[in-house]
Amino acid sequence: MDPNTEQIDAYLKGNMSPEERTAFEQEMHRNEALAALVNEQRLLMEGIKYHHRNRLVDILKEEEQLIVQEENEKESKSKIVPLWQRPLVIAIAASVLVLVLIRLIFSPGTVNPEKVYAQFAEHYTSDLVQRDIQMDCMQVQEAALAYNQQKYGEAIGPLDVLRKNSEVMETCKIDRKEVELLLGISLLNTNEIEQSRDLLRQLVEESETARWNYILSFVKTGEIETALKEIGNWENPSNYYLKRLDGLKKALN
Amino acid sequence: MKQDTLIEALRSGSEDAIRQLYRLYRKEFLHWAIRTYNCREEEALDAFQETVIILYEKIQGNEEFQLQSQLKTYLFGVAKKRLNKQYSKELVLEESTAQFLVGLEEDKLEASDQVQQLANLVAKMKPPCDQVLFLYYYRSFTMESIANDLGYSSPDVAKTQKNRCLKKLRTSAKEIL
Repeated sequence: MDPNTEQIDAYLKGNMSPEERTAFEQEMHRNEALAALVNEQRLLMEGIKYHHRNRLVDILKEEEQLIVQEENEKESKSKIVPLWQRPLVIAIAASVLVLVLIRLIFSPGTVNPEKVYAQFAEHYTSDLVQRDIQMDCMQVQEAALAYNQQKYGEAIGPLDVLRKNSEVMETCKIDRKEVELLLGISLLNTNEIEQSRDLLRQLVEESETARWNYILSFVKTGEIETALKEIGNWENPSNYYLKRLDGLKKALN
Repeated sequence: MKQDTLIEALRSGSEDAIRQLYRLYRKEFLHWAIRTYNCREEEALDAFQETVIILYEKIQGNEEFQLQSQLKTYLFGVAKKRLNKQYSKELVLEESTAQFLVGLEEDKLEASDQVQQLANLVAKMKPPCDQVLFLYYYRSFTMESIANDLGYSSPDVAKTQKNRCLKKLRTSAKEIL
């Protein structure tokens, strides 16, 4: 052990009396070797402190990531329409639940596509109806309203007319892709699977909602392997879908 | 969590406590910093993280630390000192907060390349040396507390161990020093 270590520690940690401090500093002026040793020890102390501060910085950065992730999830959830507020949905959900329970009782241990589909399907709410729309655009409102009320059968006709009418789309400043997404989801919900897939397939690169519903279209028809393959093809999903994809994968395996 | 309990947890070096402190004031701090200094959110976040660390170090290394006012007042005081300097603003603080800030080093979290290299060597140290050096130099534990914490038979044994570990670090850092 270096005989000066304790003294240097006391000096660097501010544990010396003013008199001791002055005397020690005078000694450092006279003794270059001591001054070098003090400087070395100061650097070692700073290295130790800096290492532990880095750990704290890592902890806070990790916490920040968690907070951002939580906020994103909260935001995504708030976009979902509260289904329990719709009597029709409650009735449908209750019926589906009964059917699912019956299926569960009579075919335990196997993947039930309908059950999985019902578990993971969710209504994507369009904001088309909330936009400030001119009188010429009433048909947009009509289509979007039917869609948002989950009257998918009624929404299909107006949505299909709308997407083929470039003039109205331009006048009403409507994005064709959004209309196609709503139409794709409506077709999926009315079991027009092939048509639904054709539309959704074209949108998967740009819309996570489209990709999610595209995957669910395979679940609905019991094409589990294809659904799993499509899940695997989804690169960098948002946190919102990451959790749902994990859940879906587990339900399918 | 009550303020006293949080301070107690911070003093004991709890990682959970620093996370709680961060969550407790983050939103309010960002709002305040962005509005007051017209800075970007990233800059406000950097300032907040540094501030939390400085406050944490101040509390956990100080057994006598007593609050004269709210923890929040100190936190914002530390931040004001840093941000006012960065954005060349005059610093006006309450007396107790000004007292608290005395002795806080300027630009405390910055380090030279040499110190960063030394920190990398510290990161590679194994028990008990990493623990002993951490408790003595970072958390300012007495030899008696280190002996109690790490199960040494006496403070003298802890001191011998600390000196041995420092020597080991010095030897491995020969080319950097």
